[in-house]
Amino acid sequence: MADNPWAWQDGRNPYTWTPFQVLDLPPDTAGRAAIDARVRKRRQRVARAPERYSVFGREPTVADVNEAAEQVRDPEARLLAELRTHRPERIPKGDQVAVPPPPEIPLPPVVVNTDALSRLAPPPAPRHFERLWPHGE
Amino acid sequence: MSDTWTTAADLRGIVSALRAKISAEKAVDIEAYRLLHDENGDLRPAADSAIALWESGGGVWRDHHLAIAHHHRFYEHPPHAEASPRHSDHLKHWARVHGDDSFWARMRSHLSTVMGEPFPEDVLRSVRRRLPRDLFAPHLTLAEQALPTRPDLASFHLTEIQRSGFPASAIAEARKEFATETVTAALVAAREGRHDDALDALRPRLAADPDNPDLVRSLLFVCRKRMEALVIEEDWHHRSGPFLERVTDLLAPYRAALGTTEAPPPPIAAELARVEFFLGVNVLRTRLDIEKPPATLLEGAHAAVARLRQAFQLNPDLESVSGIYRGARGHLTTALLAVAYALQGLGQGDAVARRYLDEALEHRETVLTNPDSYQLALMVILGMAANTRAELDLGVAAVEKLQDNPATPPEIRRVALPRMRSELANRRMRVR
Repeated sequence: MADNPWAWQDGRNPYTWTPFQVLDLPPDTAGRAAIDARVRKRRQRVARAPERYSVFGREPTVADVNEAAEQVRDPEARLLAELRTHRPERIPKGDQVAVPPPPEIPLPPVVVNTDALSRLAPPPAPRHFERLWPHGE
Repeated sequence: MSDTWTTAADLRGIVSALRAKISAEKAVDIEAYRLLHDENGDLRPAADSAIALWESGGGVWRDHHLAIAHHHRFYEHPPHAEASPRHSDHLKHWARVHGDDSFWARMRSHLSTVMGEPFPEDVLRSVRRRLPRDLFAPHLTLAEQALPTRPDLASFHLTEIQRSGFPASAIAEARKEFATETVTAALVAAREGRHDDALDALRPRLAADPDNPDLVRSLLFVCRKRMEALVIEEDWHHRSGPFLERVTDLLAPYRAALGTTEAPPPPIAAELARVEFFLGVNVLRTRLDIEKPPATLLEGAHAAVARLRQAFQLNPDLESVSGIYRGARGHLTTALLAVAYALQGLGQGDAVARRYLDEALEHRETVLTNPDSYQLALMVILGMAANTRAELDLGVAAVEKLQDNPATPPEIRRVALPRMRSELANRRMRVR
């Protein structure tokens, strides 16, 4: 039988040192593979720079990570940990409205419409030319 | 509009109301969960704003969220760190979670999903079963630590357990655990004749949990054992005063908690009956002196009556427990008659005194068997302005008893008894 996590030990708070906190593992992470991957990553990080990953002021060690990993795999210890952890409250998928990206609206091809163009041009008007030289000479 | 149209509209209304409700509850959950995160985005077990939100609403996990938040506070700010502990209902929401079958079903479903296989039912049941004990454990530990120097704090922890809302059986088990070692220690001390040591052992825990059934029963047992050994001595009542005073003090909170209507459970009732007997007889022997002024006599007699009445109420068959208790009824009739006599001495009328005389005369044979009783009865009867026929008959019988009693002094036999006979006869003629 697992130890009582709520037992009084001076300075120990059962809600600030759970396996999920030690592993930085969301409790709804599903599947052995996903959990193991997170455990591996956490172990590496904690081994390299434990001061960057403190949990409520306490730095986890690799041994802590290993113990936490065992706890999330053991049914009784897992349940005792889940009891001490807030259920993640996320927006449910059904209520989510997926906003699609704006559609790719292609630019229309450049088409020259001569009729329309010609209508834009002023009407040909007779032009008067100054005779520059006398006619027939 | 036909019925079918109306029903469809109703259904749509219900569905949209339901969607609105679920959405409203979900909105509370999402916002409160968000508020649990600090400025760095780290999830904390509690935040005032989140607690306030969940206390106003929320979805199916609401009680669990509040259980964690409130209980976390207990560890962050334990009662001994504060000047005066206040009751904070740290366990109230845990009790709800524990009793909510749907919570455990949801938890099982979640665990099966994340662990990739059905979660074992027996593990779930076992953890659920041990939860009250696990949650009570820190309170019991802290109560133990506080006992020597802070009995008020020890009392706080025991009260938190009692008020928690967990099943009565779990609470009873915790209180039993609190009492067990001390009960054993008191028993050992009593068996070795160290009765005051036994009371010393019980005192601090009784202060923390005054109506703890095991502690009270142990106290009564220690008292009874001491007294049963003592009463074989002639002047026991002079030697038992201080001990019985201690017992009375230690018993007072339990008696107060019991009130006048509630009956204690049978094991305690049987022991308490015996202790009330000893307390009553002790008062009778030490404070019942008809030479004393009536007011003083009345106070003592009233106290003896209260104890002995209580003893018979708790165990109507008290006299058959053992030879020690065989005279219990006689003691009670003596005390009742002493009250009547004192009331007459204070100038109270027949009606008031008669109430006590009548109660004594319910056990006429006992009165006539007991010298203290029949002497007092005779004085009370003669002290009345007018008597019933039954009273006069008893008066006559009492005179004959005095006549037959070799301890009756000669001058009483010569002078007083004939006068009494004659007075009774005169009164007899006046009764129609």
